[in-house]
Amino acid sequence: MLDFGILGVTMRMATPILLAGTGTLYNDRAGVTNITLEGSMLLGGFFAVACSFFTGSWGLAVLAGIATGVAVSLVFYFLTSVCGGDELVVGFSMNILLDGLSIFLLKQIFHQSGSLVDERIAGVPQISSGMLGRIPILGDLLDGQTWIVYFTFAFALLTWVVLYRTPFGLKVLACGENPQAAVTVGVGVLKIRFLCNLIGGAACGLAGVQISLGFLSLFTQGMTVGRGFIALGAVVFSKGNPLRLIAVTLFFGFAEAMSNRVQLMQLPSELVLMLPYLAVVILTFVRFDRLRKRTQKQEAC
Amino acid sequence: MNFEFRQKPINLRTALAAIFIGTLIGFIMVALFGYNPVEVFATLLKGAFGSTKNIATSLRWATPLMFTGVAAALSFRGGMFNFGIDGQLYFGSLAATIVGVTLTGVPGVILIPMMMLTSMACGAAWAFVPAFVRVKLNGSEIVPALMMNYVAIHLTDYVVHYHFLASGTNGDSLKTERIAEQAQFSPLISGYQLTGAIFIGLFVVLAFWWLMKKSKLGYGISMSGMNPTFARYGGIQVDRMRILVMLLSGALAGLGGAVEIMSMRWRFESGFAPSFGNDGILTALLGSSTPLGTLIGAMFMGALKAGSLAVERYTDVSRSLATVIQGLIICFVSARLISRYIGFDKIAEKLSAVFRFNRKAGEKDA
Repeated sequence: MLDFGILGVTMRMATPILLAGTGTLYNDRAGVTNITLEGSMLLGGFFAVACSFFTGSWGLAVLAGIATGVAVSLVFYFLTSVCGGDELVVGFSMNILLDGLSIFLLKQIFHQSGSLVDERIAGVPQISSGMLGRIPILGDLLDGQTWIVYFTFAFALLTWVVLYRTPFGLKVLACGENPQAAVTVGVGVLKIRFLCNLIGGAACGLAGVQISLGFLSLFTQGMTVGRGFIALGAVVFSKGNPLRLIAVTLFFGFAEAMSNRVQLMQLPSELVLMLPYLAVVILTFVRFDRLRKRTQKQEAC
Repeated sequence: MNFEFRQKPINLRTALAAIFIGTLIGFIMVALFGYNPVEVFATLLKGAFGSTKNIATSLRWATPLMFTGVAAALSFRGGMFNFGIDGQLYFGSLAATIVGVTLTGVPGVILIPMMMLTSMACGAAWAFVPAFVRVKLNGSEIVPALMMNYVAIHLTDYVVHYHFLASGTNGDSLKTERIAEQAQFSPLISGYQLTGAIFIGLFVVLAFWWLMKKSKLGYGISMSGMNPTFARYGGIQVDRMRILVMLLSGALAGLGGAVEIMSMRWRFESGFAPSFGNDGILTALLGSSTPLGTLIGAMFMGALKAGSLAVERYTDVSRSLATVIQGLIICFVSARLISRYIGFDKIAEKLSAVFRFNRKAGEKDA
């Protein structure tokens, strides 16, 4: 059961969570609590599928998904920063709204209720080359993935560089940690937050594309099944560090990959489907700060 | 991330403006897809208020929202964001159903309270986990509460599928046997979808009012919600209040599910309450977490639900139109400055100025 094939599935499952999480990390570090990930991913996935259906081009579909995510984040920014809405309330109700909107559009445009499956929907192609597949572990990891998977991990690593090694990243961190001080030294807090919002929205939209077109090429209502909230949890657990975020999302991806695997053995599917969510709940009980203190103490001894 | 949540008071004008703008956008959306918006919204209104039977249906959909709405409002007042109402509701109502299915020999006078108590205990137990994370582990209650929703949905499916499946179904639809007959509520008037459940719902709202307005405990709850530091200086044990609020909230969510099953479904079915939890949170947000506001909010949401079902039945428009409108309304209720940006404030001011002028003129005449 534990062959290396599961590594590739882990990567694939971790991708949407990591992508949306990394995007939201910018929001988090800039001091914005944006919880619209779930709805943003869902609507992004829907518009990507719709665009792919009408144009037959996965490239345009990816653009449509990203544009949707950006549009959602613009609405969020308008309602919270411009119109003074509570971030949690607006985020929560936007998640419900976007879920409803995807069902509404599915019914009104395609006259389908539930799901949209069609031959005309072109998926994002999976990159597989014979050379890569033959390298033992690395091949299992990288072969047969979409480019979104590669992009996601590169983006997460790049985010670490951006946040901790560039002036822009420093400004972002300043906005989150002490906005008043940031304003005093001439950082445009609202501008930085606006940019972070856009990055977050685009990432969530692309994550939606990976969910709907990356592997299956279809749309079903509510198909993100809480992955946006899992990503949110990952951001919370990682305490805003992209490297830790990669580790946490790989863990969640592994839980999902395991649940796919275990499903093949005759276990009750309901319990198996529960696994990833249970993994998140269990992780909330692990206190990283205390763990680190303990290891530090041991090192001191 | 900052998950601190404090509900701001909402005045009537903001709420009405939000409802107006939300409905307007819904109007435009329907028109964009080539339907006659007037016709669709007339169907919606007719479905909600067209006849006594439709009003009864609206009240039927408002009833579960009274429970989940009060559950959400209570948690907001105590400074907690209970995102896990759906999970608590599912878990509580499955437990109640199991009691109702197994103890068929017990008379209804005992069985009904037993089912209610079971559901409350199990709902509270489900809510304890996020409360524990918040209070003892110093984390956020939001993420575990959300995840517990999905855990509860899959767990109840599993229990139904492998232990309490109704005979004659081969797992294609996950539902239990019917609960004992003496625990089934019958309609108040035959042919109308209205049972005694609404009185239990009203009682819950009344109890919420009493708790917040008349009791010492309610004062402690709202103090620790409004200003935890100040409450701590005043000698209120804020952590204990937070746990208590979450437990009460979970208990009410579970009770809402049990009452729904006793009054309407008579059996636990997978996905029987797809949005009661979220709608309850929206209800509380619309009603700014006050007892009267929550009651009115529940009525409004119930009417919208009944109307949207009629819309789906008689036109080609999806009933999720109502979900979109609900979401929009709560967005605009929170983003109160929006009416300034779209010029609604000026119109309202002019209208009220005209109104005031007329009244003054009238006073002078008298």
